Formats: sequence, structure tokens, C-alpha cells
Amino acid sequence: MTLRERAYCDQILRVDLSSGTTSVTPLPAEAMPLVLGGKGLGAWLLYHEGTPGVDPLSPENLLIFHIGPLTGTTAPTAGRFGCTTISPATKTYSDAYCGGYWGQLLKYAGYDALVLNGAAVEPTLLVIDNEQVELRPAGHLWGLNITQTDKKLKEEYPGDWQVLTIGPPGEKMRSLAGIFNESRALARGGVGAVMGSKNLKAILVRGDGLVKVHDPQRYQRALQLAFRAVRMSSETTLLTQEGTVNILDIINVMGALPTRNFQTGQFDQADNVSGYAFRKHEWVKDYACFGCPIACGKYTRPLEDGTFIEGPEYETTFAMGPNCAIGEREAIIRLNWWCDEYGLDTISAGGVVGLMMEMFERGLIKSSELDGIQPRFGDVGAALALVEKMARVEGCGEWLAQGVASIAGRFPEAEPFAMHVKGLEMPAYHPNAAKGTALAYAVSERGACHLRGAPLGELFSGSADPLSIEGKPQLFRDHQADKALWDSACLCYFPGYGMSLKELWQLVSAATGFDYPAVVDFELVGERISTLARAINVREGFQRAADTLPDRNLSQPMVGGPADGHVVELAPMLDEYYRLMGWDADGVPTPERMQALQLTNRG
Amino acid sequence: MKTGMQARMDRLFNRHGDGRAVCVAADHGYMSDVTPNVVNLRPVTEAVIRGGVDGILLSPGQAMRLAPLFQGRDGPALILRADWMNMPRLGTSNVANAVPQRLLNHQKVLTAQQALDLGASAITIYLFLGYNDQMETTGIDVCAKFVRECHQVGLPCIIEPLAYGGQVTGANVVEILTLGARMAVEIGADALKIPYTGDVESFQTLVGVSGVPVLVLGGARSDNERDALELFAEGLEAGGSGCLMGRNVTKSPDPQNMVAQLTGIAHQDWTVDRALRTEAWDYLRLVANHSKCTGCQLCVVACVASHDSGDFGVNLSRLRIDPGRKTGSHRVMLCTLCKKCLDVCPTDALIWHEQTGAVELLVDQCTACDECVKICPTQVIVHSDEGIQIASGETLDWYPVVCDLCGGEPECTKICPTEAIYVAERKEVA
Repeated sequence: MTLRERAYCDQILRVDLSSGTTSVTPLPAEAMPLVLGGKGLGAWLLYHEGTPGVDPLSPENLLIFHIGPLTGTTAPTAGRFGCTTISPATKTYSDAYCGGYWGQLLKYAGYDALVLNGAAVEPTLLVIDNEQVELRPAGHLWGLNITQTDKKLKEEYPGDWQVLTIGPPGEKMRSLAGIFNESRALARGGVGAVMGSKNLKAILVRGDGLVKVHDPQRYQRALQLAFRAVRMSSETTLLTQEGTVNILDIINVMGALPTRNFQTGQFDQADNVSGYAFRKHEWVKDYACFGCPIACGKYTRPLEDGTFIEGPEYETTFAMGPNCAIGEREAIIRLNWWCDEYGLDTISAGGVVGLMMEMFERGLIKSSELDGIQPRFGDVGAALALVEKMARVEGCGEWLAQGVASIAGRFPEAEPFAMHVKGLEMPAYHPNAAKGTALAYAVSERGACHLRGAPLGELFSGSADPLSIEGKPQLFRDHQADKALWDSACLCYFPGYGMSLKELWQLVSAATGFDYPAVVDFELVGERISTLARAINVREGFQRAADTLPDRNLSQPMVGGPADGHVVELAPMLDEYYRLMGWDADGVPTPERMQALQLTNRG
Repeated sequence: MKTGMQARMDRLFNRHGDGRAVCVAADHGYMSDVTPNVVNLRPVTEAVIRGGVDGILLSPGQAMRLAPLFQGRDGPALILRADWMNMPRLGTSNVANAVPQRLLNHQKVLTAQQALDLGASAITIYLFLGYNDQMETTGIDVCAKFVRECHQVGLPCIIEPLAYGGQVTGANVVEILTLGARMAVEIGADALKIPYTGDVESFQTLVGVSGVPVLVLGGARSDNERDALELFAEGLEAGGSGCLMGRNVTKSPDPQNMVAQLTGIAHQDWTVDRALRTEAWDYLRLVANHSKCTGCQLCVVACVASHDSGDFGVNLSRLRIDPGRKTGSHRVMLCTLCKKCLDVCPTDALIWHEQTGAVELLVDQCTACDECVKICPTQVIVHSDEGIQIASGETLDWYPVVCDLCGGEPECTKICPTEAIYVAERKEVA
């Protein structure tokens, strides 16, 4: 039985932007049951084809877009897609995911992955029309923002096309740049800068092929069970009602809502920016990504000048709101608008603004260094000015858009409160108030990340005591394997608030026919994928020393809230976690563990 | 065994002589916040009793107030919640009540004798597994004490094992529940209330290792009422003895009818379709509510996957979403049965099918003249990918693909998460 009858296309589209040539190769057939697709496939390709020690912004760096076996079917959220590369922000392995409407079209066009290498001489557009693939000049699009590019391309290409594009920060290779499909983004790790380094402005795709699952009858039954599990969940209902921001008030109550650049974990204006407040005052319509029964996305009502957005998400709300001590919803919407229109990661952009506010208040930076801007906590005008500078990559925006770690390099006094791990700005859960999440931030392969297995249930569903480190390494290990599978299948995490790994296993087994006798066998695939990503990082020189947190988490006790006085006791959690994963004390997967996971060591 | 024990078990499980029970849980105001469904408990209780419910789970306080409803030989069995657990107060759905509680607490709040005095036929208590060792120790201790007390006075004790906490993963949840069921029975449970494991096979194992009557609980309410009925029917198929279902009944727009459907399935061996009365429909009409459409396109892919090769895609879909991206004003384009295509067809190749109510193509009469495609106001008649040889021996380059309403159960309406596409009219067979 071929992979084409196992829900794959069995085709990798390879585009060399230096030579302008394209080719198609089959999937690594023997590897597919081991790594499944999506994140697993991206890691596999990067591990086997990537150049060790590559400069992330050089032509040699690979930018790999990938989807999974479930993509394009009616599985909940089966339009999700991702990309894997070496990140310019962290220099590590880095993967990012996106909903929207682009992913399933790559599948219908006939490809499981798109591997980009080299760099074009001139601004270029990649057009994928089923089996026809072409590179075209994109000089007329260079400099345009996300909406302008999308609009222009929709005029030039009428019909069922979807556009993936970067804005000016991506073109200028800034670490905060994401890749956008309309209002949805592959946001983190500077993937937009990698695309910009290849002089690739946009990727258009259209497809009308079909996806053939291994056992249609069993798959339909698994779909029925999956949808039922999603519908019978109060968490997914909350996502529909109040978007991802629904969790803001519980996180605030738990004292884990990072406020004033993580100086504390509770925000006195949290009620203004809660999911309830946005629902009541700002949102007018639900937005769903392709194939999503939940629709956690929200359109806002237009402001007086017509500005409106799809959002804000919880992470954006934290980054632009509490993190900058801003409690006005309208301000958050405007800040979000600049990021979405120009192609910036909102978490990182908010992280930079928060850092600037703290540095300015502490006298570590002068307004003359910030083009006259005087950022203080709560100052909406200053926040807007800074974000606009970064969005347009002008003046101080040129270096601000390189992110918190790069700024701390210029101003070493800011290092103790430069909130990043490995160069990636920290997301919306205060590590001092959530110890399992702290471990995930320190270890996650792409830097500070809440999405690669952070046990967030310790905060919003009471799955464990958030202030204790006891049992957290095991909790993180389990969640990490679980999330790696969702990213490889490749679905959004949110159906997983109703479905469990069991329902995902049923879907994947029926779709691929791969033999995973029990859910634990499937879970092992997740551990293998996480270990593979780790192996890439080890190859790039990242070991235990890089698995750390800012001084603010490790030695500055939390001020206020339930976590008052807490710091993160990281070392014992790292020891335990490495042991559980079968890694040595330096965090390097042992040859025995690699072999047991059927992975080979590669330089 | 005390003599009262069997009588009380029978009152719960043998009202219909089949060992099955349809029970409704309405103890939510006790365990979490007062969700709207239980603000005024009396009308809900009365409605489910009219629906023919076999038992109702209440808190002790509500049982005092509603006691008259349970009186008489035919009255439903009263089940009392006998412990209190702070877990639901951590949930995001009731942030107003959420205290920054870091450890779970499990308390016994009622004695078996008190329950008996209130007229209870059984009591229910939790057994939490998967949080931490201390919580499990307390849980086992509380359960064991209850069982002892209950059996001294002849009161059935229903234990409710729940897999909850950091040690629970998607890979081990079924195992934890199965082991938990057996643990509860070993402690001395007379019956179990337990979450459905998701599929018949694993639930069958769970019921098998239990050896006592097993009631499935419903969990959060689904907007699709078929979900709860299916889950219930599967539980019975696996050997379960019925349900103790809360929000799926009490939050239903019509709790009485929901209970009637459940009791039909339990006591009269109805299928889910029979309970929903869908098997008797004849023809129907699809309607779109554009404002409810989120643009997700599940309908489009489901349409393709239920026709032709059965593979997944968007090509040759019988309906279409015209996306209003950036504004969210999507348009659902589907066959409205306007029948203009019938009027323009020069060879009467398109007919309206009396049984299914859909437009049907008699391909042997088709000339591929394109008139139907051009006239269709919603532009949902599309060209087939491949040609076809027809009876006359002639080969058509393409033929029109039209919506067949899936023979009565349109896949687009079944999968639509927001009821943006729904069946507006059905004509029942006489």
C-alpha cells in the first residue's frame, strides 16, 4: 500500500531560489510511521538535510513548510500547517504553526511539504497551481504590508488562491517578523526573516486534488467520536464564547498574568481586558480557521477611523496590555492592528515595548536613543509609536525589531529583566507562579514557549499545584509528547480541550493505517519527535547551559499575588526531566535512548 | 445484606424490570456555580419526571425542598450527593467563584442515616484518581467510610471514579478509569457513575471488570443532541445499565423530551434515529443562515467526502462558501430547490425526485448544453471532472453535478458547527 492511500500525497516540493529550479521527491517512506508528518517531518528533513551550524539568514538555511496526514480532511481544524527552520532569533531549531486557509490547499495541490533553500537575486513570488510551480518577479510587491500584498495578489490571481506573505520586517530580516495568511500567522522565531532572506515575498497556492484515507469507514467513525468529544466540552464552548482571552481572568486570579514586563503577576485593570469585556464591547462576529468547529477567532467592531482586526488573542492581549500596563481595549486593538498589518509577532513586539518601558523608567535608555519617544508603563501613545517604528522598520525600530535578547546585548544592564529564553520573548504565563510552565519555557526547543507541552492546566484547570515543582517534569514530559503529535498530525491544540490523545490516535490510525497498537505506542512517536528536535539543538550547540530562565525568574522573588516571594527552582526540575527523557546530565539524548527511539546520531 | 438494600436497588434500576435506569444529575449548584439550568430547579425536576426519569441526583438541601416530587410508588428514585469537592470551583467557567485554591479538597458532608431519612434510594460519592497520592488516599478513605455506613442501614452506595489531574494523559485515561472502576467495586460500591471512555470496546472492558451496574455520566452539554443520545446508546450496547446525565438534559431546550428519548432508548430499545424521529422523514429543504457561518468550510469537504470516490477535498462540492474574509460576512451558496434548472433543461434530463425531494440528473438524456449551469442563481451546479458515455452511445465531455440532499440526511447540515446550514422543512411520511 502506497503512502497516497494513507492520507499522504507522497510528494515533497523542493524549490531552490538561487537557481530558480523546482523538483518533486517522494516522502521518506520508512520514516513516516516514525515521525508522522507536520512537525515530525519538518524535524526529520532539517536533521537529515540541514547544514549543521548554518547561518539562519544565509541561503543555505532551509525553510520547510509542512502539513500532516489529517490535513485537508474533515478532522477538526485540518487546515493547520507549520514551518521549520533554524531561527535567526534563537539560532535553534524552530517551528511555527498557523491556522487560516492556506494549509489544506498545499495538500490539495499535491504536496506534504515544501522545502525552500537558496536565495533569489530579486524579490520573488512562488506560485503553486497544483502540479504547475513557478517563480515570478515580485518587485511590485516589495515594501507592501500584509493586507496590501494580499489584495494586490487577489486582483492578479482571481479565484480560489490563498496567499502566504511577509511584510516589511520580514523583507528586512528582523527577528520579530512572522509569515502571514491574512490575519493568521506563523509568528514566532523570526520565520518571516528567513523567508525575507530568500527574497521570497509571497507563496500563492491553489489545489483541487483529493486526500485518500486508509480506512474510510473507520475514519468516519473516528471523526464522529472526535467531533462529539469537541462538542461535549465546556472548555471549547468557552473558546467559542470568549475567544482565547477567556482565560485572562483566571490567570490573573492565579497571580500568573505577567504585568509590567513581568514585575508582577496581577494586573489591576484585568477586568477591562477580559474575554467577557471584549465580547461585550468589541467583538461582532466569530472567525473560524479552515475545518474548525470551535471558531475562537473574533472580529472587532471598527473603531472611529475604521480600524478593525481579527483578535486580539490572549497572548496579544497580555503582551500589549498588562505587560505594558495598558488597560484600554482600543489601544490593544490598535497595537494588534500594526502587528497584523505589517507582519510582526505580537508576543515579541509587546515584550520589546514592555522592556523599553522598564528601561526608560529605570533610566537605562534615553529618549534620544528612541527617536524622542519616552516610553513609560501605561503610555498608549509611546507604545503605539514604538510598535509603528518596528512595523515600518524605521529609526529605532530597526534595532528594536531584532527582539529583547538583541536589545539586552546592546544594553547589558537590562539583562536581568530581559524576558526571553534562548532569544525568544516570553509568552503570557509568569514562570514564578507556574513552575511546570517555567520548566517548559526553559527547555522548549524554540525558546520560551507555552505551546510545546507547557502544563498550563496547573493554572486554569487545577491539574496540579502551580507553585510546587513536584511531579512537574513528568507532567511536562507527557504534555510535550502529546503536543508534538498534534503538531505532526497536524491539528490545532484546541480540539484537544475536548478530544484526548486517544481520539487523535483513532483518527491517525484510521487515516494512515500505521500500526500503533495502543495509545502509548502513539505517544512514543511524540517523544521521538521532541527528541529529534532536541538532537538538532544539540548539534547547533545548545545543551543544559541554554536551558535557563532570566534572572527575574531565577533569583528575583515574585511581588504580590498567590505566588508572592516565589522564584523558580529550575535545576532539580531539569535533572528530573532529563532523566525521564533518557538524556544525560547535560541534556544530551544518550545514544541508547536515540537508538531505542529508532533515531540515528548525525554530526 | 440489609433487606432495604435490594428494595432500593430495584427502585433505581428495576422500575421497568430491565435492570436499566435513566437518571438525571442536578447537583450542580452544589458542586460549582449555579449554572442557568439549575437556577430554578423545581420546573426542571418536574419536566424530567414528566419525561419518565428513573432517578434524580440532588444535593441534600434541594432534596428537602423537592421531597414531595419523589413520593409515591411511581415516583423517581432520589439519589443524594454526599461529598463536596472544590475541583469545579477552579474551573474557568466560574471565575467569579474561583479562589486561588492550590490543593483539591474532598469532604464528606452527609451521613448515610441522614440520606435515608431524606428518602434516598442511593447516595453518590467521588473517587478522584490521577491528582496526587494524598488525594487518592483521602478519596479511598472517604469512600470506604461511606460504604460501611451505607451498608449498615441498607443504602446503595454509588461511587463515581473520575480521572482528574496532572497524572492523567490521553494515553492512560482509559486505563485509569478502568482500574478506578474496579477499585471502587473492591471498596464496596453497589453501582458506579463513570465517564464514557469514548468507544464501545473499551467501555465493555470497564463494565466487565466492574461487575456492578454502571451508569455513564454525560459531561458538558453538546449543542448537538444526537451526541448525548449516541453516547448513551453506546454505553448500553457495551453492557452499561443506563446514565446519570446532568447538563445534557438540564440545559436542553426541552428536558422532558430529552428524557423521553433516553428512556425510549433504554427501555424500549429505540435506536437513536428512532428517538430523534429522523427515519420517518420524506423530503426536505436546506436553508442557509449566512450570519451564523464562520467560513470553516467543513460542509464543503464533508460534501465531497460523501460523494464520488469518498476522498476528501473541495473539488466538485455541491455547495460553496463565498468567503467574506476580513469582515466575516460569508455567503453559504447551496441548492435552494428553485428548480430553474428544470425549467431551462431542453431535454428534461433534470427532474425533481418525489421521494428524496432533490433535483436528479437523468444523465442519458443530458446533452451537456450548459443551460442549467448558467441559470443556477447560487452557481452550485458544476461540471464533472470526467466525461461519461451515455445510453445513446454518445460521449459527453462533462455532465452537471447537482445536490442530491444526500438522500435525506445532508452531510453539510450534520457537520455544520453553528447551524448555518439546516433542514428547514421535512414532510413526514403518512
